[in-house]
Amino acid sequence: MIRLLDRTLSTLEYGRETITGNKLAELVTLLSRAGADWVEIPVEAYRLMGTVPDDVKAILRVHHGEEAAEFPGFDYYISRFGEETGDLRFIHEIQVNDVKEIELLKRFQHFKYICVTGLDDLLLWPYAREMKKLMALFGKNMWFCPENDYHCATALALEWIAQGGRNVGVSFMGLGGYAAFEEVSLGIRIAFRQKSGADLTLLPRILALLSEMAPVKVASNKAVLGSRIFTVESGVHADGLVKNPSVYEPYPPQWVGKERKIVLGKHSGRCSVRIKAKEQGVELSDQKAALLLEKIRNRSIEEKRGVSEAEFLLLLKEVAGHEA
Amino acid sequence: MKPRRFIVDTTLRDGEQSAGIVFTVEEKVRLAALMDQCGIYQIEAGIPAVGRVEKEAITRILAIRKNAKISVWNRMNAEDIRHSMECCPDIIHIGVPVSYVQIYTKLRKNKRWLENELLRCVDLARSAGFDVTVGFEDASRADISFMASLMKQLETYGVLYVRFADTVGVLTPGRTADSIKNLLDYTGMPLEIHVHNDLGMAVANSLEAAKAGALYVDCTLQGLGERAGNCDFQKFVAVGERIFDLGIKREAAAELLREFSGVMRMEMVE
Repeated sequence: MIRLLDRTLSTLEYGRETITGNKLAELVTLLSRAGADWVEIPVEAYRLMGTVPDDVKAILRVHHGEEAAEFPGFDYYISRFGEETGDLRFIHEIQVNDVKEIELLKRFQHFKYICVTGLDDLLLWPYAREMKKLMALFGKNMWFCPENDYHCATALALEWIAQGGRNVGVSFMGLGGYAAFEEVSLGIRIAFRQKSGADLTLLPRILALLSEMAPVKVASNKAVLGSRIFTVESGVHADGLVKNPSVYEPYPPQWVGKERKIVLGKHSGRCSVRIKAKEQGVELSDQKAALLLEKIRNRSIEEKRGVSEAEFLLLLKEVAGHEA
Repeated sequence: MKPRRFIVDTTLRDGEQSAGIVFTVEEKVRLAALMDQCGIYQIEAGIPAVGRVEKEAITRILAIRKNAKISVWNRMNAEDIRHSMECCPDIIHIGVPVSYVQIYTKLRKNKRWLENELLRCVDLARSAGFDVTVGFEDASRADISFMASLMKQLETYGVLYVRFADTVGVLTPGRTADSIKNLLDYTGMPLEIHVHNDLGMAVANSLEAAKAGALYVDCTLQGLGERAGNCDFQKFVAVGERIFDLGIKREAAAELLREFSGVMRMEMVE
C-alpha cells in the first residue's frame, strides 16, 4: 500500500493576500482527489482555513510537539522539534543531508513515527542497500521525503517504493525542493502499473490555483505539467503518433488533462503536412505534399521558429490552389 | 581516480526536434565550437536528410571542431545514409526502432526484416569507411534478448557502440541499471544511454546507467528535447562529476550555457 504525503502547503509563504482560506481548502481537496493520501497542513494554513475539508486526510505541521495539543482532531502531527504529548500521533521529522548519517539514526529508533527528509545524494551510492537500512531501523511507520538538490528526488521517491517503502513525501511541482507530486503519482501508475482512484486530470486545475496563490513558474517542457509536452513537430514522431499514439507517448495526454497537438516546422515530414491539409479538407498528392513540406521547412528556417496556422494556410493555398 | 564517462551532446539534433525550435547555421556552428571547447566528447550535429541548410551546418561544424567527434543521425534507410556520407562526419549514427510497438505498428514490419535492413544500412556506411553507432529506439520497452542478439551481430559488423534509448521516458533508475548491466554482461559491447524526462527522472536514470557501466551519456542544453526533454547537461554534469571524470572544463561550460541562453528563443507557435 503506497501512501503519498503532499507537503505543498508547507512550502508556501503565508502573509500574502493571495493566499486565502477558501483557496487553501480548494487546494487540499484537489490534491486529495488527485492522489495525495495525506495532505500536510501547517498551522498558519489551518488558521486561515478554519477547518479541514471533508474527505481530506490531514497531517498538521506544528512548530513544536507541545503545540499539537492546541489542535486536537488530526490523525497525525509533524514537527522537527519537541516531543509528542498525550496520545497524539506525532511524527518526528529528521533532516539527513548525507548518506553517511544514516548510521547515526539508530538513536531515533525509539520514536514510533518518523519522517526522514533530505538524502539528496542517495542515488550516488548503492541506494537500495541504504534504503533497506532505513527500513530495518524504522519499519513501516517511516515517511521518506527525498530532497532535490541532486535533481533525483522523484527517482528516489519511486525507488523507495520499489524497494518496499510505503510512505513518501512530495510536493506539487517539487516546490520547496521535494520530489514532484505529479511525477511520483504518474510514475506509480506507469512504472509500477498501480491503479488508484487518483484523478490526474485535476493537475492543470491545481497548477492554475497554485499560480493564483504564489509566484509559480512552469517551464513549457516541465514533466507532466508543461504546456508543450504533447506538442509534436518532428515528422518521424507525428507519423508514429498517427499510427498508434503509444509509439511516442508514455501515456495518453488525457490522463493529465491535456491534448496532443501537431504543429509544423523545420522537422516536419510529409505525414504531418497531409494531416494538417486534411483538416482543411484538402487531399494532397505526393508531389504537392513534398512541395508544401519544402516551403514549410524553408519558412521555418527563415523565421527561426515553427510555422503558424495562418502561415500554413497561405502556403497550402500556394501549393494546392483552388483546392485549399 | 574517478572512472571516465563521455558526454554526447544532442542539443543540435534531438534538442532541435522540439516543436518550434530552429537554430540557424551560425548558431549551430557557434554552439558546437563552444561544446568542443568545454570538453564534450561527441556532438550529434543534426540530420543530413533534412536538407541543404542542415548539411551546411554539419559541414561547417566539422571544419571548425578541434577535439569533439561529430556524429549525424539517420533513419534506417540507405537514402538517409547517403545524405550523411556527403557530409563526411566522424560517426554515422543509425536509429533503429526495437520495441514491438515500434516495429509492428510504426514500421509495419517484422523483426527479420528489421535485422536485414539494419545490417544492410550498417554495411553501406562501414563499406564506405565510416565509423558507425546504432541507436536502439524505444529500448526501454523492447525485448532484451532481441537487443542482445542484434548487438552480437552489430559487433561483427564493426559498430562502435549501441545507444540504449528510453524514447518515451518511462524508465526508473532500478530498471535502467538492470537493462544496462544485462546487455553489458551478455555482449561486452559499449553502451550509450539516451533518456527522456517524461517522469522527471532523466538525470537519475542517466546517472544510474553510468554507474551500471554505460560509457556514453546523452545530454542536451537546458534539457531541450521532445516532450519533457532529454537529460539536462548542466544538471547531469553537476551531479555526475561527483563520481565520474566527465572531462568537462567548467569555465568553458559556463560560457556555453550563457551563449545558449542567448540563442534560445522559445517562440512557440500556437
